Amino acid sequence: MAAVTFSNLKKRFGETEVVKSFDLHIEDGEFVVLLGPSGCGKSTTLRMLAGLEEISDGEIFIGEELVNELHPMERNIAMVFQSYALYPHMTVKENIAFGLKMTKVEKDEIERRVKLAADMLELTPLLDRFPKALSGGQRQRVAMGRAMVRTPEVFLFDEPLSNLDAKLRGSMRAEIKSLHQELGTTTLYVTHDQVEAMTLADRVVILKDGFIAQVGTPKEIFEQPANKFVATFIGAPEMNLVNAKLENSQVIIGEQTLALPTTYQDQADCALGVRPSDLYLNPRAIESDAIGKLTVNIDGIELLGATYHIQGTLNGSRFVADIATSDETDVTQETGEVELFFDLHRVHLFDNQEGNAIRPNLN
Amino acid sequence: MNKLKKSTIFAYIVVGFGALIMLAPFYFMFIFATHSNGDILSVPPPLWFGSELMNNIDYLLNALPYFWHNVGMSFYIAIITTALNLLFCSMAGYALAMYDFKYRNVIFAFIMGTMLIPPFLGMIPTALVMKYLGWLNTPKALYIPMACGAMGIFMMKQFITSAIPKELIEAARMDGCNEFSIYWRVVVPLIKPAFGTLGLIVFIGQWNNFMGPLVVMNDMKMFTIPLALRSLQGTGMTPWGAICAGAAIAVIPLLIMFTLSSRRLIDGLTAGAVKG
Repeated sequence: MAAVTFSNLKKRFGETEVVKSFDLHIEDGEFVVLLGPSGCGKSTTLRMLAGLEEISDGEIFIGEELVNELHPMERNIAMVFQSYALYPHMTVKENIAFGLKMTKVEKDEIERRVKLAADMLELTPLLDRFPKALSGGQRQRVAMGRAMVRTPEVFLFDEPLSNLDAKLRGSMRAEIKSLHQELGTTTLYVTHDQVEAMTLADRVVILKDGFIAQVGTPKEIFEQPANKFVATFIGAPEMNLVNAKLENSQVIIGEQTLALPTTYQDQADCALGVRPSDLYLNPRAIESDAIGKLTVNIDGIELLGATYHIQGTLNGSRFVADIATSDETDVTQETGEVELFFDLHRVHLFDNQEGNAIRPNLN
Repeated sequence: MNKLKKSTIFAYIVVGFGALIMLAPFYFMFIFATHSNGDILSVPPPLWFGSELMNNIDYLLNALPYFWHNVGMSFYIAIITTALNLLFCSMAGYALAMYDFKYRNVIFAFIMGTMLIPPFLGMIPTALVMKYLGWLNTPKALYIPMACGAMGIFMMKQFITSAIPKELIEAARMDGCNEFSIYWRVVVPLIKPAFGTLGLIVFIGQWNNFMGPLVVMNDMKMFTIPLALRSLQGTGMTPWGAICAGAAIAVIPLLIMFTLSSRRLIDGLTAGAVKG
């Protein structure tokens, strides 16, 4: 196991810079997820660490060693690919053992490690099968087994679950999590699925256009987004953002005013952010010393099973509320305007120019 | 339904007629191999097998004392050329399909461009080069210039592009393979169908090659089958029965090979046409 450090890492394809000054330190044994939309540079960053992509600028250290110029094999890392990348002409056993064979590990040791990995991943009955005779989940487990047997210092996962159906994805997620807890290997995991990121990661790195938008624990990312991009990228449905202005620690949205419980500097052009799941029809459902209220024009109501999805408009912006069906108020009776209540400690404010979060004054 | 049936019948007739035209020379080759020159040149020609096969073979072996050596030469040259083509075309195709390097597309376009040059244009220069190298009347004068071809490279590149995902190569690289072992342990086993197809095409091409040996082989012992049979057509009476007997012997290995692997040949030629 080893720590991983990226220092001012850059990647250019011709004139296009896809990774721009990427700095990150991953602790030994940590599970870090790179999360972002397509084209944000997350896979490229992973591939540079793997040695599959040349580095345009900057440095990568695994432990104390600078690995910029090392062959992928010399970096002692293992990677699980999105398409599994199993060798179709080899059996499961040969696939798992291939890396060990290439590095001239002794036969007995190969047998021992393959057996260990197969037992751990419940692949023992499948060892003599070819990949084409396996299901998606089984193939994924073989790919993980192939990575595991090499006892690498760092595990890399490049969107490993994106080819699986939703149900299998859930169970594989749990397997990856338990595998990491068992092995404790430093892991870097790339995904565009925020559920994967939130459930697996010790820390999430959110990327946008080649820059790091925020690094933090899943809880920090969700509850204290550093900017509008993170605020809207994390959470489904996405956070409501309404143009507002801040005056004397009051948020003014058109005719409506919210008195915040903490003090803020005045801001003429800002955005108020409220997560749909933080909104209630009934103020008694909120346990807080500061409850806010906004009146929203209803455009439509959808029943999603456990929640009602109220879509509306506030100050010209789309405003969505996820109301639990257990809420005492009968939401289906609501028409025209609706009053939505929320905990004022849970609202977010963003500077509309830079998009960065506005933090309350310290004193 | 009726319309469909009619069109199907029509298609069968057209295809059947075409097949008949294609097969007629083969049929007559086998028939004439069993007849004397007089029977062959009579009108109408014989349409069924005769009894002169052994006489024709005797004549053939007398007129061509190195006939079996010539058959061996044909086999040797065709096998070596096939092996070299499989090796070099697959390596070149792999490089062009999987590596990103400067001028890759230009190089590929240049290779493809060589297909536009009629092969006969290169015949005399090739013969001269072989002469300067002192390779005339040696098998390498035939298999070295034919060791790699644009068509083979193109076929391999297309097959590798469609059949081998880049991630597989990267996985092998991460598993500790060097570039040659990636080719040998991962790429080669996965392109066996293309090997089968290209192998057949090259083997048949070399087995039937007439012009190549004609310009570099002068010694009768070093002749390949097509050249040896051609040498029977002298200024006197051409022994058509013996020539047809020789041609029938020469075509038997091809017929066996094609029968055994026609499915693979067709699969290989259409591989990559539709993404699976």
